[in-house]
Amino acid sequence: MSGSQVAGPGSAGMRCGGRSLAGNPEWPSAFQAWFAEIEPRLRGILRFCGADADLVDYAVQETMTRVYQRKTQLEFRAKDAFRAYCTVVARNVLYARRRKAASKRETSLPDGLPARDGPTPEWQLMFRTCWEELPAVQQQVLTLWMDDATIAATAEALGLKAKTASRLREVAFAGFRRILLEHGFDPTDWDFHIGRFFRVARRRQAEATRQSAQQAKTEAGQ
Amino acid sequence: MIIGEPMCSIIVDYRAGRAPRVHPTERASLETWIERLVLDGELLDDYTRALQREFGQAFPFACPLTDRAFEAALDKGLQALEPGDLAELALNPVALSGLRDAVLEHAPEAWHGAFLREEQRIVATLPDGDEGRPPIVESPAPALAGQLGDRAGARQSAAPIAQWAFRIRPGECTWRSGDACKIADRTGLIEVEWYREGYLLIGCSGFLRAGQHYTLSARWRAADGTLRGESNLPDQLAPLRLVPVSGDGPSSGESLEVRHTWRPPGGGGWDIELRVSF
Repeated sequence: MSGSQVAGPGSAGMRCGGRSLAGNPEWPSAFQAWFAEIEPRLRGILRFCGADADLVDYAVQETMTRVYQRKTQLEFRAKDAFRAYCTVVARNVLYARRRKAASKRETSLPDGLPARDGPTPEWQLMFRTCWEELPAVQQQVLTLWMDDATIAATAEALGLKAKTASRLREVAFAGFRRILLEHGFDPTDWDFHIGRFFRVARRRQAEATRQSAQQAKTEAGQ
Repeated sequence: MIIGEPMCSIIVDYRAGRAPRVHPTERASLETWIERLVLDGELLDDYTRALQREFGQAFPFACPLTDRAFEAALDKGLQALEPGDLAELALNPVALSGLRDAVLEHAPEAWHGAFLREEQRIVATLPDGDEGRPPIVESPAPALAGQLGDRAGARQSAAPIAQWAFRIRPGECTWRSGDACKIADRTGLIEVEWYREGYLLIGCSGFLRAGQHYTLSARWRAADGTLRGESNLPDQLAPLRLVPVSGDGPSSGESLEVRHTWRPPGGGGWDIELRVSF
């Protein structure tokens, strides 16, 4: 999912520096074995897609992390489907990385507002205008972590049958994407500035929750 | 026009006030096109920009898929969508993005075949004889992936009657501007298909890609140098369509003169020419 981070084995501080990731002890042996088979090929493909050594390392590491967090190798009946999935993910990782680098250089709005070194005040103003067009309940879905009861209530408010958090987020993401695209934002703006916005908002919420819990604990102690 | 034949029909329908629909003979091509959009982030971004140019601030469809259609597409593949849903999906960048997120997140089994096909497309742009080129059989010649039809005749509708594929290295081109050394390790792929209806479709990928800031031009020459047809395609993510004066398809000794330019907003880019023979 764009703009979201998922915790999982292998995601913390894993560095490969050109070495095969298949030897990382954090990965289950079966998973390592499957990856060991595809890694040279994956590296070759990335290299011939124009990635330098550092970018190849990064893309392989990121691909393995993402794939491991999403699927086990046994969910693929055949190794070639697993390999193909990894290749598709790796190519998208590579593109996202290049796009991120380019977003620091290129103009991100169609009317020529400069966006060098991050969003400009004009960009932020337009973004906030879009954000305020989004219904409040969808804003909450995108920026707050919710428990099951809140999800169910929110789903009802949105008129959704599906009451899972992921489906709810998909619908809210879609609503915001629509507003942004209709205001002329470039599709690549989504993953960088906006994904960062969501992450910051969630982090703030988590921090506020933590402080609130700490305060309650302190008061209870008194 | 945004992309290939199926999209043309859908947009013409929409412009004429009719509900978008997919002609049965175009369904396979459209499914392949959407499959590529879902699995290739760069292609989807280019396509979304194309829709922004086409429709401005009034996308014809910009709501997420219904729960029913979303689950069907995810669990059973695009083949499970009703024709109307499929046509609307093709015009809906928001639904395409949502489906893309879900497919890459869950990697559902119904999409495993699509992963394999996309991997083949990626591999098709790689150089031969290197460690990066996996041993994937590419026979018969790949179709114009996604834009024009499915490969290997797996789906027979609207299939081309002849196909050619040319792998191009930067050093094989004539560089009118730009620097071949900067992309020396890249490869381009030119795929050509001849259709019974009497036209040639030319698709490019790799460093010879189409889309915004790219222009693709082609001249079709007979063996004696006579011009059989020419066409030009600026800033569009689409195959080049070339209709010859006479109705015959390409024959041995004939050739295509291709010119590819890239003019990024910040300057630079290239202007290159190349020639391929049938």
